[in-house]
Amino acid sequence: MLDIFQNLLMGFQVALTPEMLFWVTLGGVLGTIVGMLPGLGPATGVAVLLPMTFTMGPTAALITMCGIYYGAMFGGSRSSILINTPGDGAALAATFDGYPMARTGRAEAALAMSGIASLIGGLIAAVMMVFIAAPVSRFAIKFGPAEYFLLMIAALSMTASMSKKNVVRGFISMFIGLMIATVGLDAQTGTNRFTFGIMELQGGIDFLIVIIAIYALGEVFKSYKSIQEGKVKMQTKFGKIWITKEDWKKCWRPILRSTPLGFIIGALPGAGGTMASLMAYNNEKQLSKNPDDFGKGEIVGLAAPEAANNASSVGALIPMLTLGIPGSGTTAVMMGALLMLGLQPGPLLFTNNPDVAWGLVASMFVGNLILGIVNIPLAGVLVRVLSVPPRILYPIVLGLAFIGVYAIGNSTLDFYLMILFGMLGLGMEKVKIPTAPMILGVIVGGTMEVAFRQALSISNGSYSIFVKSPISVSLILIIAVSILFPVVKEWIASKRKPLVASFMDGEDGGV
Amino acid sequence: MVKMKKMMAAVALTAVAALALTGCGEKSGEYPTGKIDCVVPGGAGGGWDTAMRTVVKTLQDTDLVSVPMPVTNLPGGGGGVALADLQKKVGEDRVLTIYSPPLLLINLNGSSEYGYEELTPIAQLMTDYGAFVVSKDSKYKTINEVMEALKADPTSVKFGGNSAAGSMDHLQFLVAAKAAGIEDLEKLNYISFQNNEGAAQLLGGHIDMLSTGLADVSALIENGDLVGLASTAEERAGEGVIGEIPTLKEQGIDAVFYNWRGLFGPKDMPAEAVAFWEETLATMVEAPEWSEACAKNGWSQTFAKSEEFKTNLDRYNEEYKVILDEIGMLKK
Amino acid sequence: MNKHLKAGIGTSVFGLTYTLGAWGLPRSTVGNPMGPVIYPLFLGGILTILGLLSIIMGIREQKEKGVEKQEGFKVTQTGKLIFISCAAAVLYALTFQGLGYVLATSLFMMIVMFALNGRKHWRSNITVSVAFSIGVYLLFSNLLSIPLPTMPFLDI
Repeated sequence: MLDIFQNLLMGFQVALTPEMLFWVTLGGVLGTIVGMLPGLGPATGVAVLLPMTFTMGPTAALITMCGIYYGAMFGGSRSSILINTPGDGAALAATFDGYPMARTGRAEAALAMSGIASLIGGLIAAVMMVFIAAPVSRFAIKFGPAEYFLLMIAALSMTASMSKKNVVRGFISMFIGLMIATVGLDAQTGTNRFTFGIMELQGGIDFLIVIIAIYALGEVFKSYKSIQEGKVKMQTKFGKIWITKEDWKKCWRPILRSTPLGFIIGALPGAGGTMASLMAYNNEKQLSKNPDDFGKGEIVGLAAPEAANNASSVGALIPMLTLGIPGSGTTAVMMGALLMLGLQPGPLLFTNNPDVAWGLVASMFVGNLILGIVNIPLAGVLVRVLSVPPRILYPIVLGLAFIGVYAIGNSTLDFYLMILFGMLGLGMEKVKIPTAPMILGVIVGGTMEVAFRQALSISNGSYSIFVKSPISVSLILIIAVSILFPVVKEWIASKRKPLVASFMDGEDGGV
Repeated sequence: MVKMKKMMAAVALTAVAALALTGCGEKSGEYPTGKIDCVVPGGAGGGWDTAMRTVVKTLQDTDLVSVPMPVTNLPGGGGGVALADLQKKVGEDRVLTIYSPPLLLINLNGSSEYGYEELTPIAQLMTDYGAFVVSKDSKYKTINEVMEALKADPTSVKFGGNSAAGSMDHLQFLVAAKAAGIEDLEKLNYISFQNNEGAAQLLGGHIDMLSTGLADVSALIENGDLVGLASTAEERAGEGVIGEIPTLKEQGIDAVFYNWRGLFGPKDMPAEAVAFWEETLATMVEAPEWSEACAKNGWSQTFAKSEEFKTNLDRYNEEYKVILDEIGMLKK
Repeated sequence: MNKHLKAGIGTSVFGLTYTLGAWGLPRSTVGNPMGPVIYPLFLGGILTILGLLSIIMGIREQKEKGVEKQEGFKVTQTGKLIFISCAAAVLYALTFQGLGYVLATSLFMMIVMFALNGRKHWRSNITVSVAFSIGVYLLFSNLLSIPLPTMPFLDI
């Protein structure tokens, strides 16, 4: 125990030098900006700033890259809140309640809360990193294909609670999403599915393209009507970027609950910020006393995913630091960079270069703190976006959507996909098919099927592999609860009403 | 109206200036005169990306090349998207790219209509060898035990890799299995993982063996979590624990598999450009910076100039054809 | 035709097409030959069933509430705008590599903005389109080192 603190102290000595502080701030700010642009996420940010890191020493490079990573987590939600276009997958959940808040004049609070929740999530995750990184890493390894499959089903079972009113349509949406996810090369057999001979489709359809098409294009198309009718809604007065005491009271517990969730999911190679934030959102929605307010501007619905995604970005570093395995696209780029700089990521990093390793851990605290502080004035500048007249703003959003998509895949084919999905989104809207389950399906579908087949391959066809480990059994329980909970809740509520009514009658009658 | 005229004048001036500047940027005479586009057929952080960036960095650190060499990523189709794009640059001398076995594989399995013949090989630079590793508490202590188990029951050993079926991690084991006398290659249980999770899955005990590149698992072997049963090299490679991994040949299995990497130019690249790069790279691989980089990344240094490289490629192509055919993935 | 019916018909058709497509997928030569096909077949089948369910719900609702007054297929202003945006986007995709980022984007945005705002706002339409294109181009190529297609003739 004592030596952890000693190491941490050494780490802080490294991290608090003016040079490191400069780098972590620079990385963080750049990461925030990159994260804000739709389509550009932390992976792009790290890849792009890579050449810059060659001139610094390895420690500074590693710290800067991490700064970029959390910066992107802070930044992604900015565009979610202001223009309903998530900056990256992890910011998707922020659109559900963040954007409605901006529409109802609470943009300042939304921006502030997202920054605060991100900050707290990141800090607590950094603490967890110090003390329980090794056990979490051992836990994460236990996730084999069977467990991943069940995890994905758990994520999908949330669809049940997302669309209570229209179960059939919710499922239609989800299945369409799953179908979109089947496009691409099937890695287990080397065969191409639904690629129509187009090579660019072999890698599948990036879910981010679907998200940008449905959200950004959808928002732009929706705005056409109100722009043409001249109903101009611009915000001219801007309040302070801060939250009320009430907001805080509502949110502090959800934030504390969402952080460990985000941290652990981030530590699973293959599951990252997107899954973490979506699961946190749904978790809080189910636990909340007013679940129907979610999606209409309930601030808890913004705080929870924001805390979770920052926690997950810290958690994602665990496989890299403890095992030398990249857990996500971003960490893969970071590992490549580290190798080029002469560092060997993995368990040996702590033995061979303890100053680098602990300096990194210390910079997580420092980095998140600095970003939290920097984001408040930054948000003050960004919120002015809402004062741009819609007839100018929305075409710009359109332009940003396309360049964002190009940044993902460097291919104009994606433009056509965007148009296609944009129209699909419109069509779905017309017949009231919700789009959120579809997006969840696209995100989860690929991993789910692959994991299922891998699991069966390993077990030689036996389904018992899905109930073998304690983790898989726990996941099955979670799935069951997730599906039954809303059903049971409704049933109890319907039973209670007649009771209360008769009680009331009794009282009145008695008097 | 005045504003419009001023705007037009400004635009015109800018255009002229730009043209002039572009003219100035080019030195006349010696190749290379302008920037060299380095295309990476994979995503940032991947094997090709790291290799290309290391080459560029070394060339610039040793002052062998003074023009800018920006690196762009054009991932997709296992390298096929970049390959198709390079067909638009036939005859140009300002583009370089890097490839390895998948270049041949995507053509052989029909995924891409283009192959190595549609590029100009410049030089073979390095080789990564394959390794078959198990976790430290595995019941298999030697590669021959694995082969025996497979001969008895082809589905008994679950081996995984980080590439798709029909690609390197799968094939390198098949080559070994065939040499060990196993016949039903298509019945072997290969499990493909994404996101490089193969090592994590092995550590977690979900698969029995991992087929991967030596460099990818060297850290885990060094600290004892994984044990290397065999490497696909000709002779023992690397130092330390890596050097202690026996080769297939040593253990009686006559097979080798190279994850070679080399630089290519577009088809019909001018001879003087090819010659320039051949010579420059030949000098580069002698430099200490290069040896250091290779050591850090776990790459073995191999060098072959254009002619020899082409001959090697022809040979590799034939070898891959045989194996792909056995598992029915060869496009006829 | 109410929403349930429309949704149901669209979904069933899509589901059937997908299922047929799934059946036509190549069989695998390694492992289970039906490997790549099973899951898509399952998805297609379920979606078709869901579509049929929706149709049934739609018919039931029609019986209860009576047939809704059918609105003629009106081509609204908004509809036209959306069509123009999509057509412009297709043009954008086609000219992206050829004209280079700055020109193609300016063109795209100008089409959309003129359609949306009309000639009255021509100054802001042009300024915003061009400024955006140049701004993003500079941001990407200089600050972020992500190359974007360049204009013909000039290497910008």
